[in-house]
Amino acid sequence: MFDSLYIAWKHLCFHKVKTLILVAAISVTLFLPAGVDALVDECAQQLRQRAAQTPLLIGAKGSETELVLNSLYFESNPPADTSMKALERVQSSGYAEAIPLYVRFRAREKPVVGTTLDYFSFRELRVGAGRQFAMLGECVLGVDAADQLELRPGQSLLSQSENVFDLAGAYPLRMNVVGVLEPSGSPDDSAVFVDVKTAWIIAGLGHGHQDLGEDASSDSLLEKDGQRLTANASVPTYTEITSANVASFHFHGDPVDFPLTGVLAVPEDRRSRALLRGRFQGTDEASQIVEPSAVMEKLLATILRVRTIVLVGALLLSVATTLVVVLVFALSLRIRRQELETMRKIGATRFAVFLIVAWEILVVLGLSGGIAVSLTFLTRQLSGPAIRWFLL
Amino acid sequence: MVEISELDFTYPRHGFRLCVEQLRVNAGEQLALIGPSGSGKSTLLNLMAGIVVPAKGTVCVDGSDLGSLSSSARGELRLTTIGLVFQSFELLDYLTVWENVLLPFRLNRALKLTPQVFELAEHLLEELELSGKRGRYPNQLSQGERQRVAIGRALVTEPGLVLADEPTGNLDPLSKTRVLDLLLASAAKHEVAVVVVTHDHALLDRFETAYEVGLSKTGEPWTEISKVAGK
Repeated sequence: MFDSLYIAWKHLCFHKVKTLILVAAISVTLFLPAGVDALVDECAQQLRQRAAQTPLLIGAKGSETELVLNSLYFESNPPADTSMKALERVQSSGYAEAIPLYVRFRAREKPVVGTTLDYFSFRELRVGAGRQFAMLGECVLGVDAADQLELRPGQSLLSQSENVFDLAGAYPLRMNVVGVLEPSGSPDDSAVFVDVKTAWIIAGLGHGHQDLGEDASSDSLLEKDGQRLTANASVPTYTEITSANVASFHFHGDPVDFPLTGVLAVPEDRRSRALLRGRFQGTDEASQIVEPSAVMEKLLATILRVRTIVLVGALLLSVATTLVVVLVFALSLRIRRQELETMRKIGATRFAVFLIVAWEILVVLGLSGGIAVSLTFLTRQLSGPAIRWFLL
Repeated sequence: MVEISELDFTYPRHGFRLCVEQLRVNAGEQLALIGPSGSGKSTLLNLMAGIVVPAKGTVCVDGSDLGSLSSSARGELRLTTIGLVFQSFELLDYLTVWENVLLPFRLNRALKLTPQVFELAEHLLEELELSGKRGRYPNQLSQGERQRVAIGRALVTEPGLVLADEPTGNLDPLSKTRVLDLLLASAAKHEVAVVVVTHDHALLDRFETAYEVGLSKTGEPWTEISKVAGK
């Protein structure tokens, strides 16, 4: 037994390249379905986990998937705006705590999440370095965002315009980084958090500029009619909020109409949850209320269908690889016929010769299986961070 | 060592027939089989080795009638009693010189690798002037060196008989005599009977006995053997 294994091993070692190619091909073939399965499982688990942690979402009527992906993962196109009215309806109902979300802008490709401090309590996010935002224009970064943007408290970050062709739109706002969150293993790690009012300033709903009542600004003043002042374009508009100019920042319009992309509702119990859902289910209702886990299950059903397709593909690939491997072994045996015949002539039994060939196949399959199992194990171990990195 | 009597062997498909009335190879004897290609020299060697068995007649090696033994028993007998040397060396290209010499011990449980075996293998490599090349692979050796490795492999089991099928057929004239002399000298030293198939008449003077394998003298359409030289 050991001698047959010894000869088989020597043969495999001597033909290193052939052996490595065979092992690699079989490993990949074995790993592919298991790896895909592990990745999809992890992906589904993470998507479910985040959704399960979010009881209800309220947003403008439209795509439920966009609302959930935007509010939970800060991904996808922003859904149609809802408004602060929706937030007030939840609050006034008394059935749930309401947390505003305004996720429309980006800063160096990271999502800018406009919300309130309640969001941090709800998601159990803690500040690891620096402090929470306390003033307009301040931001707190998720740990990955801080790492990737190489920012720390005391530095600043410029918001991006929503549309580069929006020349009449809002100016980019220079935000002061005041804190970095502890890692949470969620999409929050990659986000930039600001107060919802700061997000509205980025949206151009509020701004700060030089006080036109001062003498120095008299050159810019075109008309003064009681309290109404009209100025020309030379009035400087601030692009950064500082303690010196924060008082000059103000909003135009009725705050109850200010936009949100979603409202996160946290009901106290199942009854409150049901009652709150009822409030938003009228046919003439402009808002929709969704259960993220239900929406996510629909999305996952699609992902799982894709997994089935991938697995069928992997199965076909396995069949093709098996045929190629069988062919390689068959050709190898044909080439080695003389050598095996010599062993027989010298005195090897048929079984001993069979054992040598069998060992070679077993060693190749064993190595491939070992590599495939190791890769699958590694995938399962690393898929969490990988999924967060690639998907979330 | 080998006793053949009333042997009648045929390859029906090829219309080949070999008849040997009587042939004896004594212990330690060095015998040559000569004849043209296709005359049946290699077949006779295969019969002596028990690789093929005759339909009629007997081939006894070391007292055992090969025809009465099973295939595996013949294999075991071959491994323990007979050393084989082939024209094209038949070394395993993925084993080193040392591993090739010791190959028979890894093919059948009938042989065990012991310190004495390693000592003998070491000694044989020295005798065959291969000591410095024990770690090389066959493709790193000359033709003559390869055949010397094959001789070492044939002798390492301390057989009573070595059957060599045209061992010099693939060698240049210089290597030819050198390899054959080494084979015969080693065999003599270890008191091993040797049967060598060749079609080179110039080599016959090195053997005690020579038989020619050729067409029947009586004009029958089969091959017979006849003594052409020796005591």
